Amino acid sequence: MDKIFDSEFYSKLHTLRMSIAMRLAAGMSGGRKSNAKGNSVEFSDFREYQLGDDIRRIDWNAYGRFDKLYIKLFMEEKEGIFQIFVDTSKSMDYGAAHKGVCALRIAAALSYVVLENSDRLYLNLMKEGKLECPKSYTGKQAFSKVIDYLENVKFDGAGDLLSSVHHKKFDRRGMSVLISDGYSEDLEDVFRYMKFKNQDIVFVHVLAPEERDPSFEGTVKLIDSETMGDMRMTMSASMLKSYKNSYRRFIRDTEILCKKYSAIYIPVSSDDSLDALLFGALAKISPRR
Amino acid sequence: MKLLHLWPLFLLLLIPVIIIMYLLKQKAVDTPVSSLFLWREMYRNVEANTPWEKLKKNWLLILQILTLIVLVFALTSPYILSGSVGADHAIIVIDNSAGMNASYDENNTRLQHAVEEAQDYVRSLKTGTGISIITSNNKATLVLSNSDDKSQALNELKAIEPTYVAGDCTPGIEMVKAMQTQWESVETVCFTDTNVSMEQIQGYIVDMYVPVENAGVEYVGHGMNNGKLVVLAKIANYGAEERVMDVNLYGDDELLQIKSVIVPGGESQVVYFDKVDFAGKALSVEITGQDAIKEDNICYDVLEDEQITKVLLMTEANVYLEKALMLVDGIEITKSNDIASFTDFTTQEYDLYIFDGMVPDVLPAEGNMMFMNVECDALYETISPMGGVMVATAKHTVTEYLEDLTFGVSSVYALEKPEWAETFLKVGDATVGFIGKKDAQTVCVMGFDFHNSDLPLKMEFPILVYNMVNECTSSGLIGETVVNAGDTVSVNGKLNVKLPTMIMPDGSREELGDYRINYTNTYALGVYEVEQNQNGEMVKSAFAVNFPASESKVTQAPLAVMGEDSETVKTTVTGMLDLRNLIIIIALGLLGIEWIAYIRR
Repeated sequence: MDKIFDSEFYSKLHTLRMSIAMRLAAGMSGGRKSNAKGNSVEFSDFREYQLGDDIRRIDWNAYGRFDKLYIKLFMEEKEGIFQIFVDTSKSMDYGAAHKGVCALRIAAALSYVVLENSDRLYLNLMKEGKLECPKSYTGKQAFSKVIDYLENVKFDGAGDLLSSVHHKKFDRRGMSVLISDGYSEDLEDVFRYMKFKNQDIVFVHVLAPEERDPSFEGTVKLIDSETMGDMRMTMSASMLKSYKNSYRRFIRDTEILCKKYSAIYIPVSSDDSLDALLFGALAKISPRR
Repeated sequence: MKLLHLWPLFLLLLIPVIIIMYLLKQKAVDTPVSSLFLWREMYRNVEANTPWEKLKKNWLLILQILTLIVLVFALTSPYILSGSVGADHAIIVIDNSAGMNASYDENNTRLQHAVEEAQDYVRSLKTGTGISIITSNNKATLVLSNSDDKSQALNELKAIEPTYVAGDCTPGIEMVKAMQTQWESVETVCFTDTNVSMEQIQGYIVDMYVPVENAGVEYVGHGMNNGKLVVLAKIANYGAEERVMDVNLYGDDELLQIKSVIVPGGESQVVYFDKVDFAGKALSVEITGQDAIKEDNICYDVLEDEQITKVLLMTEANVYLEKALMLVDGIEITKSNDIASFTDFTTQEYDLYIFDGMVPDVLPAEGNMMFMNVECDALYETISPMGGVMVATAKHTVTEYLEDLTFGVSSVYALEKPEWAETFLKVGDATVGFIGKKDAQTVCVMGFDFHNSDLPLKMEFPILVYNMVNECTSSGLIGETVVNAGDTVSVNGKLNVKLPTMIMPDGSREELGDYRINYTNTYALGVYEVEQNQNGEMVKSAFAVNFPASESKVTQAPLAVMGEDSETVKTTVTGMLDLRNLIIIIALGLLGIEWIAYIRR
C-alpha cells in the first residue's frame, strides 16, 4: 500500500480549506460562522430593542447618537458535528490504485477541514457490522491524532453497513459522510437511518478502475474478497459488456438513491489525482441548512 | 440418401471427448475481486436472457461438434440414388478374369472395385427391376437370373470370387445377347478393364482400368547340360519404370539360387540358372517386389521323368520313315520285317507298333498302333483305291502348323473313318488319314505308301511324322505338364485298376470320376499331382498351373475402353450422386465460421 499521507498531501490540505465553503447551522459555538444571529464578537446588524431582549447587548453609543435603543446583532458561532464513516471491509482492500487508501485520504482531508473550522469530528470505522469510534476530535491540534489513527486502519472482514451504522448514537444534528464502495443491499436503509437521525448525508462512492472496466480473459473463478464465495464464468466480449451495463446501472441507482435522501453524491475513482479529489469531488460538499 | 461406409460413425464417440476437452480447456484462473455484488447482478441479467442467448455463450463448442459431425458424415461417403435406370431388366456383367486381380487403389483390386460399383448400381435400380448377374472370364457364368430381390443380388455380387483365368467380358456379352431377346427393355452394365464390343447391346461399360506398375515371370523352362539341370526364366516388366528385381529359383519350396536382374520398362529379360543341383518334382521362379498383381510374380515348372518310348517298326524297307523317326527324341526303335514272328515281339510290350505295308493276324492288346498302306479289317475299312490325287491336311493337332501342306499321291486308299477317330489327311471329302483312340489304344492310319507320294520331299514331312509319333506315344498319366489357370489337362489313367486321384496345390485330394478325362478344375495356381495305383505300383505325374502371361499386361489402357466413346464407357455407374465433396465444403465453411467466431469473441 502507498504511503497514505505524504508531504504532497499536507501541502494540498492548506489550500483545500480555502476552497470548501461549508456552513452549518446547528451545534455548539465554534469556529464556524452560523447564518443564525447570535452571541459572538463578530458584528452582523442592528435592530430596535424589543421587550425581553438582553439589555447587555444594547448599543449605548447608538442610543447616545439616535436616542433610540438599538440592539447589536452578532453572527452566532456554533460548533459543527461531523461524522465520518469509513467502510473498512475487505472489499475496500482492492485495486492497483487502492480504494482503501483513497478512502482514508478523503477522510483525512475532510477531517482537516473540519478541525480547521473548530468543529467536532467523529471518525467511525465500519467493519463486520460493528462500529469502531474513538472519542471525538476538535481543534487543529487533534489533526495529528486523526492521522495517527487513520494510518493504522486495516481493511479486513466482511462489510455490513446497516448493522454498523445502527451502533451509532447520533445525539445532534450534523453532517454524516459515508465513504464506501457501496456494495451493500442495505445502502438505502443506511441512508434512511441517517436521515431519521437528522443527518445531512454525503456519500463518497469510492470504486477502483478495475471495477469500472475489468479486463478478464478466458475462464475465471471470481473470488469474493469478503465472503470468499466464488463464481465461475467464461469471459467474452458480451459478458464484459453485460458487466459494464450492470456497473453503470449501479452508479445510476446509487445516484438516484442519494437524490431521494437529499444526499450529496460524490463518485470517486481510486486512481483520481489528489487535486481532482480535493478540489473537484470534495468541493461539492456544501450542506444545506 | 444412403451411406457407403458405416464405420466412420464410430468416430462420433469423439463428441464427448471434445466436450471433455472443452471443459478441461476451461480451467478457471482464480481471480480475486473486491466483491461479487456486481457480477451477481450481471449474472441475473444474463440468466434472464432467452435460451438462445444462453446457447450463444457456447457456440464455439457447438460449432466444433457440428464440424465433427459433418466430417464424420463426409467419411461415410453419403450418396443419393437417383434411380435413373429406366429399364425393366438390368444385366450386370463382371469380368473376373486374371487381369482383374490387379490393384485398383490401395485397398481394392479391380474386381473388388467392380463389385462395389455394381452394388451401387443395384442399389440405384428402381424396385421391381429384374436383375441378372453374369461373371465372365474364358467363359460366362450366370450367377443370378432375373431376380427382383436387391439384397440377393448384393449378396451374389459380394460372393464373386477372383479367378486366374485368361479372358474378358466377351463370353458374358455373348450371353447377354442371347438373354436380352426375351425382354423389351434391358440395360447392360459391363464392369471390365479390357476392350469389349458392346454392339447390339443397350448399356455401357464401366472402366475398371487404372494405370499400374506390374512385372511378372512369363515363362520357366528347363533342360540338361552336361548332366546338370539348367533353368531358364523370362522376366517381363510391363510397367514404364525400370525395375531391379531379385529372381529366386525354388525347387520344391527350397530356395536354390538367387539372381538379380534389371529390366527396363516395357521390356523383358531372360535369366539363366546354371548347374542347378535339384532332383525333385517341381521348380518355381519368383521375383521380389510389390506390384499390381502378385500372383504373376511366380511361375511353376515340372520336371518330367525321362521315359524312353519303345517303338516296333514292321516294314520291308522305308528309308524315308526311318530317317524321319530318327529325328524324334526319346524313342527306341526296333525294326523287323518278319510279321510271322510278331507275337514274340508283343511280349516285349512296345509302346508303339508301326505297321508299314504289313499287318499281323492278331493285333497287340496294349500299346498304340500306326498303320501305313495296309488294310486291317479288325479296326477300319478301306473303301476304294484312288490314283493321282492331291492330299491335303484336315484340322487336327497332328497337322498343327501344317495347314498349307498338300502333296501328290499316285495310289491311295480312301478310308472309312471310324466313330472314334478324326481325319487329319483328306482327298476332297474322302479320308485318307485318321487318328483316334480305340479303348485305351491310339490308332493312326494312313492309306498310302510314302514311296508313292512326294510327301518325303516336302519340308513339312519330318514334322508330320514327329507329330504323329508324338500323338501316339503320349502315354503318361497326363498329357500336359505346364498349363495356364482354367486350361484343360487330359488325364490318361490305366484302365481296370483304381481310379486316379488329383492332388491339388493346397494338398487336398480329389478322386477323378473316370480313368480318362479332360480335367478342368485348374483354377488354383501351383503344382498339381495325379496318382494312380496300377496293380500295386503307385504311378505319379505332376503338372503346373501358372498365371496366364497375357493377363499380366495390365499396364496398358485398352483403346476401346479408354476411347472417345463416352456414351458406352464410364468410370462409375450412373444414378449415384456422391455427396462427400459437398459435405467437405460445408465442413470447411463451418471451420471458417468457427475461426471467425474465435477471433471475434
